[in-house]
Amino acid sequence: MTTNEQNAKSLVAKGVCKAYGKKQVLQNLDLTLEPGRIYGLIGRNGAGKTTLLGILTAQNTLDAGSVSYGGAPVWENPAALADICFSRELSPNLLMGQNTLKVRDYLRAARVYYPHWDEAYAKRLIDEFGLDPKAKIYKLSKGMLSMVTIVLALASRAPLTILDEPVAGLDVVARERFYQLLLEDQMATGRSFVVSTHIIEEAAAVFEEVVLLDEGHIIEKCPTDELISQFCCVSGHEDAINALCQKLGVAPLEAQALGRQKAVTLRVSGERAGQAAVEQGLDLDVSPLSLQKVFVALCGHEHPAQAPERKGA
Amino acid sequence: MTLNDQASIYLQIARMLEDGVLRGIYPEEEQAPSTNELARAYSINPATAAKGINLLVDKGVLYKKRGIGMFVAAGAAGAIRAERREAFYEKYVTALVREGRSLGLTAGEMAEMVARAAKGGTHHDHE
Amino acid sequence: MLKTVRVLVRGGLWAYLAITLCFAAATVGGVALLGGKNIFGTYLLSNSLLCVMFYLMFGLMLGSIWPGLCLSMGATRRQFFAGLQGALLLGLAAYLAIMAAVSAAFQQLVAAGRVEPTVDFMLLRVDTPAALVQAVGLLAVFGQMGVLLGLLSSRVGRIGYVVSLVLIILFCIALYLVVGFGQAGLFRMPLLLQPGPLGGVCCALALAAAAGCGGLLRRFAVQ
Repeated sequence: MTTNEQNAKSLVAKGVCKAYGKKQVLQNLDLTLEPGRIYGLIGRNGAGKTTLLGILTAQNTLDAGSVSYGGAPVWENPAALADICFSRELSPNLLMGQNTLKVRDYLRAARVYYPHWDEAYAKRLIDEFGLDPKAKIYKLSKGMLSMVTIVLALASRAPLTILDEPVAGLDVVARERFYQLLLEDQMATGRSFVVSTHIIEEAAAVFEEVVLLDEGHIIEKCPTDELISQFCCVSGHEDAINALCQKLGVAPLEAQALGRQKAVTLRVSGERAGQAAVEQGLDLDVSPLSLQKVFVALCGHEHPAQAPERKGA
Repeated sequence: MTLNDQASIYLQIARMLEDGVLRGIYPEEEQAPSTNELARAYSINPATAAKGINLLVDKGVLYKKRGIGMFVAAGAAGAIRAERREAFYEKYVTALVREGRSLGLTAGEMAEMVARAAKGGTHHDHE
Repeated sequence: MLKTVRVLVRGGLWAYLAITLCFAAATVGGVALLGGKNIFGTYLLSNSLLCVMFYLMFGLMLGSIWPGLCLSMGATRRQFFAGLQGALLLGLAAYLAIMAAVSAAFQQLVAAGRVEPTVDFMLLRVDTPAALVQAVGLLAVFGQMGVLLGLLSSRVGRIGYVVSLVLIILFCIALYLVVGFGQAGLFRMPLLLQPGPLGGVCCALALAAAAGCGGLLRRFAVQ
């Protein structure tokens, strides 16, 4: 097992802008990815995740800004690109192009291009996942497609490895196994991983840092537990809730009401909210939020005209 | 042994290790689980596991032996117990009183219940 | 660049070459066994036609499947373009060799008296230096056109690929008819297909088409 600590290079994106036609997909985006970490890239469909990842890996063009790796620009830079692996989500619907290849040929091409490729590791993973190397990609099930994505990413042994939706289509047992493999590999080699995923909650414990992408902007980038600790859910009588919000000087990010019972999501630490409640003598329950709930509170905004308050349980 | 979303993961790891020290699972002057072992066992990021361990190092519960790993400090069990005793009032007693009050119990009724429970024998005797 | 050439050659060139060789061997073998009169030209023409067609299809395949794949694996556009041209050159050399070998085989059969050399047809001649240059130039243009078609069709999807294949086959049939009737004297052969020193023009066209491929690749975004 090789350690990549000596190749400690960061990927730095500055002022990245990208538009498709009239639609501005990424706006003035800055991002720094440091070596040796597992990042979670989280965002809704259409937030621009795959576009961003394509730009970070010099596979898509950008309209403005720069992306550099270890100080040198990534665009048309073979040395930088040799260290970066972007394992894309394979589409089951594409009947032509690379999907006409067999799994084995797809991975063989990867072996040619990734200088750190570990063939023995790839074989072990293929055996473990039960992949048929002779099967054509467009014939594979969604779960198998995810496994190909994973094999390519892990076996590339690239110092910076990006996985786009690696667990879509995998059942829960396979997902757990993936997180284990990811952690094992990271501990053994010190590689940097970026995992773009919809399945947030299970993966939260695996991510050292999370990057939240919302409508072309990065709205949060910080260690997972730090982000979570900034939020809490407070529930109780609606008068008490309103009093608390007033005392804290914050408006709820989300609110749910059932009769006079109200529960709100606040961008305030649990301790602060609890303390304020005690000071005011308010009978309220304060509890932490999961990463998934934090994400929904931050990015689950519907059309601005709709009020965030929802009636019901 | 399972993690929940009620508190930061690193805090849960620290607490779990402290529980282990109290229960004698991690005896004093013996090796404690490493960052990687914890990460593997709980499928969490090793940096998070490290944060939990460092918290205990700062508290003096664990110490690092260069080249070998983390060890449980002498007197750790006693220190943890003392700390938890201090926290006992804030954590459990005030919660008990609050709940009791919301049910309309008097101080006397609550005290009687506590005495009855204490007489019923302790489940975990750490002495 | 060599990596890309390896990947591309393994990816399809060998398959197309194998098929072409089989056809060539079959026609030569068939004529040798059965003998022939008045069909010398036809066999030669159709053999070189097949070479042109498979070479065009190789270009098409290169342009439609591999850019997306190789770029998504971290190849730079420059690397891929260089590898692409390298693979095309290799293919060109291989197909010229096949055409020359078939032509030589038929000369032998004529010398042995198995075939009557009534008409001497060949789509692209390789027997004189000038003719060789012209053949190289024309094949090079065809190869680049195949790649350009492939690059364009990859944006459109499967339907683009199928349409391109059909266009190639129709083009080759038209070429066959033009050369066949032209050689038979029904009309004057188009200048480009007459054996002559027009290789220079063809090579220039090929370079222009290659530049077009390079330009398209630079803008190529892996979706």
